[in-house]
Amino acid sequence: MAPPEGSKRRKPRKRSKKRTSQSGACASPSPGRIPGEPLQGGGPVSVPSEVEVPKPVPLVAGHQQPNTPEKGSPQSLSPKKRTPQRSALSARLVKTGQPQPGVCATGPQQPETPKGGTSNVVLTKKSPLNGPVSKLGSAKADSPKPKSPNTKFSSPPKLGLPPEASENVITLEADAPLELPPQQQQTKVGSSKNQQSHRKPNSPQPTPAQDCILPPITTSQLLTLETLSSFIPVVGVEKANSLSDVKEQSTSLTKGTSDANFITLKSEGDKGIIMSETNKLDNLCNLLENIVIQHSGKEAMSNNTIKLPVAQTSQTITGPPPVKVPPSTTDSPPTTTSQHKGEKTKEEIECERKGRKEAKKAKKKGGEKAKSENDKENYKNINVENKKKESQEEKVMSMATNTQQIQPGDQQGQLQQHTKLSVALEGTDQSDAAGKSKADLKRERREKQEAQRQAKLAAKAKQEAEKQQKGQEEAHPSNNKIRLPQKKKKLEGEGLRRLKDRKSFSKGPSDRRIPLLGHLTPYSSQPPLLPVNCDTIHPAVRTLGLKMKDRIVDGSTARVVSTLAALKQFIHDYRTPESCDLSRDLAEKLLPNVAFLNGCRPQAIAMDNAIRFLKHKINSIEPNMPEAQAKDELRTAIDEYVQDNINLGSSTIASHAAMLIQDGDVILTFGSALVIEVVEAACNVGRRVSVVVADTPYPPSGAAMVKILSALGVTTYYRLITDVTHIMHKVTKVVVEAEAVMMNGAVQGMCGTASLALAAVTHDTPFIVLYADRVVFCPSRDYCGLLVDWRQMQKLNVVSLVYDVTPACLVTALVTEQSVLPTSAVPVIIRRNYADILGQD
Amino acid sequence: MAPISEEAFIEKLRFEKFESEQAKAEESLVLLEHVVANSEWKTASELLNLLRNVVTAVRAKMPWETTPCNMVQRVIKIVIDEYNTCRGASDGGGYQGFSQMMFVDPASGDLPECTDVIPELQDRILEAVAEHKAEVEQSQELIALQGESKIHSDEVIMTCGMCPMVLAFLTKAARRRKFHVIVAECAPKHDGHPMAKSLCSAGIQTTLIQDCAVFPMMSRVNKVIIGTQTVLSNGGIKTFVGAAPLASAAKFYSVPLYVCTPTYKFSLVSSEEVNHHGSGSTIVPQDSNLTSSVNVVVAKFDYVPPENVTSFITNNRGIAPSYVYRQLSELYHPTSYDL
Repeated sequence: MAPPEGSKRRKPRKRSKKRTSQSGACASPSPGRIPGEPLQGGGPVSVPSEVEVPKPVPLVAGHQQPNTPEKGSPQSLSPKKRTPQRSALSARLVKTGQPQPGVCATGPQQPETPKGGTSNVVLTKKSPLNGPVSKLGSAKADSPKPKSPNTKFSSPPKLGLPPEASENVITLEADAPLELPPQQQQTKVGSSKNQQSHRKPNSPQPTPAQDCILPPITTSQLLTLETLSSFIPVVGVEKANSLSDVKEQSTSLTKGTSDANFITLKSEGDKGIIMSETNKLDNLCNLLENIVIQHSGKEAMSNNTIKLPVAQTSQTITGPPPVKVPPSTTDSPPTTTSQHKGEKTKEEIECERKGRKEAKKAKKKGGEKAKSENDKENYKNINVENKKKESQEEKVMSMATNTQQIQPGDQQGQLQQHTKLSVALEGTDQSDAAGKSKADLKRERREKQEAQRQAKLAAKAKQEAEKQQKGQEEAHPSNNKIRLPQKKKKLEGEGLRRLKDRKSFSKGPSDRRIPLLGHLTPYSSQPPLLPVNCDTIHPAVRTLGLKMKDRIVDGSTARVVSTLAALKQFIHDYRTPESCDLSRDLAEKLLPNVAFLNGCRPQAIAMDNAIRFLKHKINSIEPNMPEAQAKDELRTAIDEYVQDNINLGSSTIASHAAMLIQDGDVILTFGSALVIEVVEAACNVGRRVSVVVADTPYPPSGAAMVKILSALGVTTYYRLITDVTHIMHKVTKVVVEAEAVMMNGAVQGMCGTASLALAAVTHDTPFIVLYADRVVFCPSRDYCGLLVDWRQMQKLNVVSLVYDVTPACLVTALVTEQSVLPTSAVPVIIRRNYADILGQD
Repeated sequence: MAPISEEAFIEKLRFEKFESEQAKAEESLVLLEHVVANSEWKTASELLNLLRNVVTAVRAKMPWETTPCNMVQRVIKIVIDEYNTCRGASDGGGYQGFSQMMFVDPASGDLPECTDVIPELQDRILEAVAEHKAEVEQSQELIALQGESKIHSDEVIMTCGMCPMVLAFLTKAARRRKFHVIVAECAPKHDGHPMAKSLCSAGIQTTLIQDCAVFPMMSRVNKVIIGTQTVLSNGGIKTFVGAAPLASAAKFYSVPLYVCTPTYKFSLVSSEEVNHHGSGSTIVPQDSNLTSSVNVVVAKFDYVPPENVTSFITNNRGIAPSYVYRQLSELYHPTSYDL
């Protein structure tokens, strides 16, 4: 065991050095990618990230290897991760933390039976892959282990990283073979382990040397996180975290990866990419938090504090690769915890207890996680057993075996060291060790399978994934699932259960594509990742993007004005390169900024119009015009645009609409600031009106409007939007505000507008639309309070639409700043007002 | 199921202790069996009066509760039929003579005179009621069996709120068909959430949406399947709040709307009697301090007009809204139309 470890360690070290050099090289290329691609894509993180990941990973590895550099990296990572991750990912962290304990428990449980052997196995398996286990083991084992983990990191990427990545994790993982394929497998096997490893790194972060390791982990974690959280379907489901600082830091850290991600992502899908990236950040944050927690505990627990940090660093290195395996990572964290157990008996025992509890819970949930856990357990025995057992997973197995073979030696050494401790803690060492090895193998296999599935590389993978999903859902696992679970069950029931849960959980998010609504952009708490030192995005644009994403800037008008203001600043700071025309170069430089905004939140129609207008202005600048004059012209044009289209427009609409309102009218409306103005204007003219405010429970955006109206002395009714039919007989006019008006007269408004239009039509009530580009209340963010655990359900998606489109035939009149129009006049207006920017992209 | 007193039954109704309409129907029949078996009556007319008193008591306190009244009217029909059968009358059985149907004046409110003392009548009535009870108990299963034929593969189904009938229907269909269900959460009760969970645990791909997203999602939907509280005599339905916008959206997009309903929900109530308003406190956002001047009310039920209903899926067969009157004439005796 020991000799292989040493060899591995040595190799990894060399590799790490290479990686560092590579990372530097990668960094340079990544920026090149970043400018163009990030702008375009903004979305598909996972696949591209994988490809790119390798570069970032090497960078990380480089950081990790040199212990001294760790400080710098951890600092960047820790601040970013800690602040944003904690806030945004607290929930996730809790989950991960739970799984981790569960993993630990599972790991320990499996190991427990064999005692030290199992725990060691887990640690070894995980430790190479996952930081945490190795850390635990290293803490006990001391200096040699830490080295081994580092070497492992470096080695895995060299050895089988690409193949493993392709096999193991989803698209992201496959693309990011750099992260040390064996480690990835391990991490994939036990996402919980990875998380733990991350947590441990956090603890090490305080210590300078460990910090270096952490940054790489974070990058890998980011990738994995992306896969996990990428599926958040609901636009407003997750709370928005103002992570601008964090994001920037994270972006800087993950420059290489983010760049690669952006490129690939762009090709795939904007939304998905963005989500995955944001998720990565969240995951990183979670991992950091976990690390901090675990680390503190470890430090207290471990006698060899010095050694522990080293081990942690090594673990952190290993951890990142697992992180890269996003889908499996969730599962892996628990495994890492099991590794931790091996390190410290007390911690292990606690983890085991937690893990057992969790495992019980997990058993109920699903079999996939258990399978993953089993894989981890079997990891030591992997090669032979895997081949025999899992015919379907043969490809994955082969990958796993390679990685496993490399790591097992280290693991065994660790196991031997830890066996005493583990034995004391747990009764059966030998059986556990065997079980762990098997479990690890199974985990790896599963991870590989997951990766294949996610990567959509092969139809087989898809079929397997479907089978697994079906099995999870129906509690009738597919052949793959059944095989793994059965073995696992034999070895360790609880641990398997935990693993299954974790796996299913991780798979769920990563695989989750909202059926029917896959074309919509899900809300993400994280901004699109940017490459480190990316200078293509102007700071003003970056800030605005984050604000829009978090809905600090909300409403189409506010978004347009702030966008133009940010672009104005961008133009102000722009300097034309000597070799280029201003018009051509500026238009090119503008693209990434616009893409970033679009990546933070899909552009409002009005924003799109404004940007088209700006591009038109830029394109129409004479090539020989002096730069200062051209910039002056552009800024003036922006000011005029805002004045003409927004300031003047909104002020006249209220008076136009007030003319339509008669004395004694009962107005049905939806929460809207503009409607309040209209009512106010009507009251000022002497009309007595009463207002029915239709509202949605999530969010109750109409309540504020009711307060304002009742303060004005207007008779107000508060109704649910579903209950409107019962008061429609009283209503004489329905007045709503539009977010945008389409060329065919269809009206885009806050979700629910169309329902009111339909109710109005069925009751022969005029439906009046105000189109002023005004700010709308209605951040729909905190949704699904009643259905907290829906993410754990594979087949359940919760969707909160933000906008809907009302067909033109339901609209009686359209009130614009110019006049009151029928919807059939919309094309004419658009042609008249926007002829100069039509057809531009 | 131990029979309970009439008062206890009404109290239970009043405080909404029943889990479903099915439970209401079954317990009503238990109560009516108790009335038939243990009350002191000699002629069928006396029994009919006893039964009518039950309806009156329920309606006095809960005019919106139709299922117990339906059950009483059903038992009245059974009593009259059994009485006529025993007397060897020509119009016995389930089929009402056309002339009698047309010329009996429901407005009179008088039950037929059944003054003959027939010793075996009680046993025959109890037997028929037990048979009817079995029919009620099987209704959900019979409806669920039709799921396969009504849902085709890869369809997108929309439903709203929680209805055991719809859940059973979809779950059964999911054994043979792969389809996608969109569940509206159905404010203010939000019972779409447990519905979504149940569907999901049954292996059905489920998406939960908010109520106001029904319209935008409707364009992607192949069928709308909902449950109901009552089927009204005009073919419309009285059901959960949110069904009316759902049905009109379905109508707008020409999406067929099916209503899963057992026959015991067919009521003689007409559409004017639908609206009963509940407390608005359930819909007021917690953190918003709305002044008392604001009128806040939420309805108990929505009325969906018959033109928005494509078909009823009953335990017998599919029934079009325009055919509901005929079903009613088979279920209930014309003289009990206006109890």
